[in-house]
Amino acid sequence: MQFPSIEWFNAVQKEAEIEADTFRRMGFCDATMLLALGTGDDARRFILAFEDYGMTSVREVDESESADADFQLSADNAVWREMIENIRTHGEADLEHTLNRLQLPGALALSASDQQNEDLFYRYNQTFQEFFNLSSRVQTEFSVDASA
Amino acid sequence: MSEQLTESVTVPDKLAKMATENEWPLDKLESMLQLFSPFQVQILLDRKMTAAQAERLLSGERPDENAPLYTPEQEEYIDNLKAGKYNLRWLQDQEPTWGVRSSLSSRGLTLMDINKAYAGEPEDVAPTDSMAPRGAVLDPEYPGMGYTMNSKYELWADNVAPLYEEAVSRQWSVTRDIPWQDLKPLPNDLERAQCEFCTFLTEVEMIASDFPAKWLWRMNQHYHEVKMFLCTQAMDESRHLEVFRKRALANGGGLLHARAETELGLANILHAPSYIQGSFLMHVVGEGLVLDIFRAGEFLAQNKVEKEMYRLCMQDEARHVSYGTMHLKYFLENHPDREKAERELHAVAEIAERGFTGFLCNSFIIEPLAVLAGGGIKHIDKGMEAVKIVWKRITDEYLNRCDLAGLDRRSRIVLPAEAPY
Repeated sequence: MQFPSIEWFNAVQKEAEIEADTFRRMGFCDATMLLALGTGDDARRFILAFEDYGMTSVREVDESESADADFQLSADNAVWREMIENIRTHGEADLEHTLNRLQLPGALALSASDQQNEDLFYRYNQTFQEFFNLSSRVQTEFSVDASA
Repeated sequence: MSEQLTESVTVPDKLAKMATENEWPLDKLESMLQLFSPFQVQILLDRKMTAAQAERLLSGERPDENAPLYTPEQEEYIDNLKAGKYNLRWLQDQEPTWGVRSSLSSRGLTLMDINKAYAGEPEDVAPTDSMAPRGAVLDPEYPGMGYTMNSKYELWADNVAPLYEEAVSRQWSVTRDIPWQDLKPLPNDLERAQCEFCTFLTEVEMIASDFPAKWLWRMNQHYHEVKMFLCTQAMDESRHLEVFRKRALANGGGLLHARAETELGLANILHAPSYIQGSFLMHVVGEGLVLDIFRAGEFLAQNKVEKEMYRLCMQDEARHVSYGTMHLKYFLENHPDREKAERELHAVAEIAERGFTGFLCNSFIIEPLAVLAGGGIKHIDKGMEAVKIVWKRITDEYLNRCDLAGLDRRSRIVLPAEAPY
């Protein structure tokens, strides 16, 4: 499955549904996250809506719709690719490739309209991490330019 | 028998009147009130106990079998029941919330669903001094709980009900949810650094249980959502103490050095003269700082155990910061004299900012962080670069939260944006 794509995120959500008990135990998660992949004109953006115990919708958006999200995580394609490949290799993110580990020094840039929205990234971090960890079960192919 | 003995007591008017009606000498009532609360004594007066019977009871002797157990009203009710007559007044009351049927949300029945179902939002000023549920009928005469926080702006935050729901649903267990079996021995310098860091966190975390607990009973029950949320916070912080204490003692290290400087910061919060001052110091300043420290802890984790514990604590802490920020906003927006409130909070903020240095220039905090970040004592210089990032994040996010709440610290902050080392 191609990364990034709506199909890829839905495939991860399908895996999350298999692990519904784990996500229920982690608790409610109400946030919309914009993932920005790549830079410039070729950048792609996806808004993932999390509600209750998991992702309820995903859509690809253009720059003008970016404000619809509570917060944004953006990085070069290479950063995303390294993270996804690392998860695939280890079955989950290793110590160097968790979302917070990548975000704190700025490899993944976190932004939001205000601090309250930015803090949602921390408030639901366990759910987001578990969601991305489940991508280890999704056969992933990267776009030609994904290492750019 | 009691550590509450006082030289003189004030006799409540109602109790004095009841004592007179029961022919209790006032001096006996006063001496009883030196050891017992007016509410305890009222229970005896309600039962028409004689002063001698009350004195005997309060001296701790065996029960006087002639002392009345029931109030006159209860005796009458018992007689009626024996005669097959029920009271049934509870069926005749006017019930303001009768007929309410709340719809469910996708996740079950939330506080928000309930509040929406019967216009149950709290009023700006609490209508009673009781624990009667909002929406219930209350007897015209009741003892009064003695709450001191009876206005909404003193404690409310618009996000408090969803935060409570979130807190309850995102609880976790230190014993069960941390993969302790994955803990492996670390080089001595890294273990010492982690243990020093965990000693600090074990020391500081439960201030965020003690502080709300201190204020909880003063908050009017009309605003139960706030009290419920603060109870979850107290539980969260208890768990944080547990996790850091366990980590310090689980891997061949131990609890290390607790600093007087840290104690001063904690005392500053616990003994804040008002809830808003303490909440600002704790929820916005202190927990905002600790939130970034947890994020740094996750970043620097040497194993999965540390990764999980910092990440889970980070989630809890972010909820507390969220309440504190939105409470500060509500407080300022609804304070009857905003200018005065802002002036007071600017002074509190400036003291807090100067107090920040007790953490960010504390060798027992930043050097262990630097050792963990650098991967060992040999690379402490490299690790200090990460400490500088933490300094910048802490100050940036603190200013952002103040902005959001409407307290302009950006033009006044005394802390430099960049670390001075």
